[in-house]
Parts: sequence; C-alpha cells; structure tokens
Amino acid sequence: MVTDLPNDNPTTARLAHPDFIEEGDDRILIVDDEEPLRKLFASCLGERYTCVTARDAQEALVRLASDPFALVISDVNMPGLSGVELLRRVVEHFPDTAVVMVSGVDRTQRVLDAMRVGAFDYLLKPCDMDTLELTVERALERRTLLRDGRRYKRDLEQRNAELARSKAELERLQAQIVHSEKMASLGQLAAGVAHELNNPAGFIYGNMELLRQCVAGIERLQKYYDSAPLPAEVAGGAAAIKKEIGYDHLLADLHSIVADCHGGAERIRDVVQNLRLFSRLDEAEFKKVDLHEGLDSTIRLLSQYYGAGRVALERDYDAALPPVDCYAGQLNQVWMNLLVNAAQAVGDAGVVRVTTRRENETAIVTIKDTGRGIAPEHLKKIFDPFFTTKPVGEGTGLGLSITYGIVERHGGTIKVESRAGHGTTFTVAIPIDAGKQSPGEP
Amino acid sequence: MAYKIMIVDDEPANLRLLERLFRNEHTVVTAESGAEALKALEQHDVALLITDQRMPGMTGIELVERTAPLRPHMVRIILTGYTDVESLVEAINGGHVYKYVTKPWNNDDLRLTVSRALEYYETNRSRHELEMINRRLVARLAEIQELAALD
Repeated sequence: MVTDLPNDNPTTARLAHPDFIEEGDDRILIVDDEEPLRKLFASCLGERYTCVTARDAQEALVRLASDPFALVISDVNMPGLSGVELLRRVVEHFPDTAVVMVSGVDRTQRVLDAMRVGAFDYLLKPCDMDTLELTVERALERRTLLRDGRRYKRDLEQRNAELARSKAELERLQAQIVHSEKMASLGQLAAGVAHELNNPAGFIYGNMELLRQCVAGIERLQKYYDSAPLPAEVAGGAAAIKKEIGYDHLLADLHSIVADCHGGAERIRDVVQNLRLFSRLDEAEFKKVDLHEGLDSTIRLLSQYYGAGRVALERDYDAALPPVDCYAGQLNQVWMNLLVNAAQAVGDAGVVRVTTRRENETAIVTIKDTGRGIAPEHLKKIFDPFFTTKPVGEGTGLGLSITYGIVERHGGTIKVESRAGHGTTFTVAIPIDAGKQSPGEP
Repeated sequence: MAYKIMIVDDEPANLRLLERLFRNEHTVVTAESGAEALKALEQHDVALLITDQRMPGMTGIELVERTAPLRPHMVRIILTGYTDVESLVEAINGGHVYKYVTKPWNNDDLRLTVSRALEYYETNRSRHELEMINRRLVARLAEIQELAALD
C-alpha cells in the first residue's frame, strides 16, 4: 500500500509518542528528495509494510509528529535540513523509530557520522531490492529487540521495587511475630511465676500478721514473769540462759525481724500482684480496661528507672477517662516500651510526664520526656523494625515497631514529636469503643 | 455466736493460717480437696464453707454446686487468686456463692467478710426455723379448731 497521507488507522493514529507504538507496527517513512527513488522503495516494501513518503526532512518531521513509524529510511543528501540532521532529531524525539540512512558511495564519511549519531544501518545507492528488504527486516528486528529489552527492563525494575516492598513488609511482620511470641512466652512465664508465688506470698503475709500478735502475746507474758522475783533455785539457771540466748536483745530483735519480714512479705505480695496485672494472661481477651491501672502497674514494674531518687515522673491522669476496649496485656507492653525509652533518654537529669485525656470517642495517652530528643533524619525511621540508635548489643530495635503494630491492631494511632536536645513526646490514641471507631481518627 | 466453718484448700499452709484466724471464735473443719470436703459435710452441719477455686480434681465452683442440695442453707465463699472472673460471676449470679475473695487476702477484711456471711446465715436460718414453727402452729390450730367444732 502506498500512501502519502497519514494512516487513518485509529489505533496507530492515537499518539505519535514512541512508547505507545503497538507491537507489530509496520509503518515505514521513506524520505528522499528524488521522487523515482521514493516510488521505487515504496513499491518494493509496500507489499509487506505500510509506506509513507516525504520529500524532505521538514515534511518527514511533520509526518513523524502526527503518526508513529517503526522505521525511517532517509537519504543523507537532501536540500534543506540534511539527512544526518533529520537522523539526529529522530533519535532525540522519536527514540522508538529506527533509522536507516541511504547515501551515495562517495559519501562514506557521512555514513560513518550517521552510524555514530544512531542510525541502525545504511544503504548505498544504487541498491538492489533484496538488500533493501533485508536491511529493513534487520532494522525492524533490531528495533523490536531494543524495545522489548526496554520493556523487560521496566517490568523488572517494577517487580524489583514491589519485591523490595514485600520483603520489607514481611520482615516487619516476621519481627512482630517473633517478638509477639517472645512476649507471649514471657507473659506466660510471668503469669506462671506469679501464680505459683501467689499462694506462698499470701500465706506468708497472712502469717506475719499473726506472728506479730503471737510475739506481742509472748512478750506480755514474759514481761509479767520478769516483773516477779524468781525462787532462788531457778534464778541462777534463768540468768545463765538469759546470757546464753542474748535475752536483752532478743525481744528487740524479734520485733525488727517480724517487722522486716512483714514488710518484705508485703512487697512480694505487691510485685506478684503487679506481675499478674501486667501479664494479664488470665484476661487475654479484648475487654474494657482502665488504662490508668495498666500505666501504674507498668510504672511500678519499672522501679529500676522510676524508683525513688531516679528518673522524675509526673502523672496527670484524667479521672473522667472511661475504661477502654483493648487487650490489656498488649497495651501494657506499649506503655512499658515508651516508658523505658523515655527513662533512657532522660538519663540523670530530666522529667518524664505521663498524661491521659479523653477526646470525644478517643483515649489519648502522651508520654513526654525532656531528654536528648531524636534527630529529624531518624524520626521517620524509628518505627522501622531493627532500627536503633543504641550501640550494638543494646536493645533489639524492635520495641517501637512492635508498639506501632499493637496500636494499629487496636485501631489507634501513635505519633512522635521531638526536638534534639529538648525532648520527645509520644502520643497514643486508642478508640474507647471498638465498635465505634472510625479509621484515621483523631 | 459460734458456728462451724469448713475450709477447703489444696495448700496445707493456707488451711493452717485460716484455721488460726477463726479457731478462737468458731469451730473449724478443714479439707484438702473437694472430695474430702463432701465427705466431711455429710457428718458436720457447717454454716459457712470457704473454698479455694483452683484445686486438682474438683474446682471450688464444682464443689459449691455439689454442696447446694446437701446443705441448702450453708453460705459459700470462694477464695481465689484466679483473676478471670467470668465463671465466678456466673456462680454468684446462679445464687450459690455468697462472695468471692481474692488471694492474697487481708486478714481483717476476711474476718469482716466472714462475720457478715455468718450473719446472713443466721438470718436465713432463723427465718426458716420460724417458718417451720409457724407451719406447725397453723396445723396445730387447724386440729384444735376441728376438735372444737365437734363439741
């Protein structure tokens, strides 16, 4: 088919941009100032391809701008814009279009230039039709290969990016699972230990109370006996025994022993109680929980940081905050995480402040420290698994990513603000009623 | 007033402690398992049963259920370190458990709970007794009226 007009096929007429050329496109643009040559080439190639002709580079560019072409066959020597200049423009603006240059035998330098600029091949005039066909075939084939290559490269790059994302997500989930299982078995251990200790802690404490009363009773009787004079035959023996047993100190000792044990029993009882509150394995269900209780029991467990004389802690609880739907054990892990980080950031000097308040249907807990803060370039990475600014061996870098996952699972949000040198604030928002939560709030 | 109290716990130290707490005021009977307790209940008219929840064999709640037909007026308290209260609430609402007390307990609080439980027992028992007496009196009155009518 020979035509000097743009092809009316709607598919290929859609856009001249090379990327949208369909496969199997077989449009060829023949550019030569000599009409006989144009006709010759077109009739030779017309059987297999759709040919369009142009008289010069200018016309060629017009054609190229309106329709896509797989191949341009162009004379090197033309009036106006030269063939090589046309080639240059095609290479630059229509990278998916191959170019074959045609030139006279005595213009070999031009041919070499053309090849360097980016022509696929060249034909020498006069050329026989077999050579022309073969050259066209090869050029189109090469064009297809290059285009496919580019397409595969693009696909591969896309796939790689997807895989990288999937991998990152999988790693995060895996880290979460590993940590969850660790926590679960730790929680189970804590609950088991607490359970086993509960009875003995309980009856030791109860017995201490009775022991106090017993000792008081014996003391009373003893004082009464001491006030009465002993018969001579036993007075000596009694005095000797008193000396042997260190009687003067004995009663005082008894008092302080019982008092110390009583105090110790009380503390054991409290720690066991806290362990149970903290692990809450018996209550491993989603239910309404008083967040303040969880915060307080977590703080008590962190006495190495917040005990007397260590990190200063301020609590500002909203008494009107109602119980919140949650997995108590998991939220306790969140508080523990944030509180440990805060204490470590503050070190020797500074304050950690825990605030709770209600905002409509959301419970907001903020943990703010006046510590060294987080650098802006780290801020966006702190929830990434294994990201840590601590030296090797200290911490797993998992705490905050687990925290993030837990908060997410509750339909809540966690945000961080920080200024290097001034401090950091974490804000956790949890919907009070699970059923009423709207995503993205507050 | 002195009553008979039964204490059931698989931990002997707990039994001894609880016995010490109440033996001055009341008569204390102890058992280390639900089965032992049921056997003892056949012989003793116990006013108050205090039982641990987590025991091998029979749990506290199961024991409580089994004693209901045996000793209908006996007051039942469950002592437990188990914090999940779903089944306990069920037992209380089912009407067979008067109260549950968490472990570890405070001695004074427990004493107070026990004296209240025994008051509750006493109130029910005397009311029941009065009902019995009333019924007998009504029957006796009917008899007398019948005899009077024959005259």
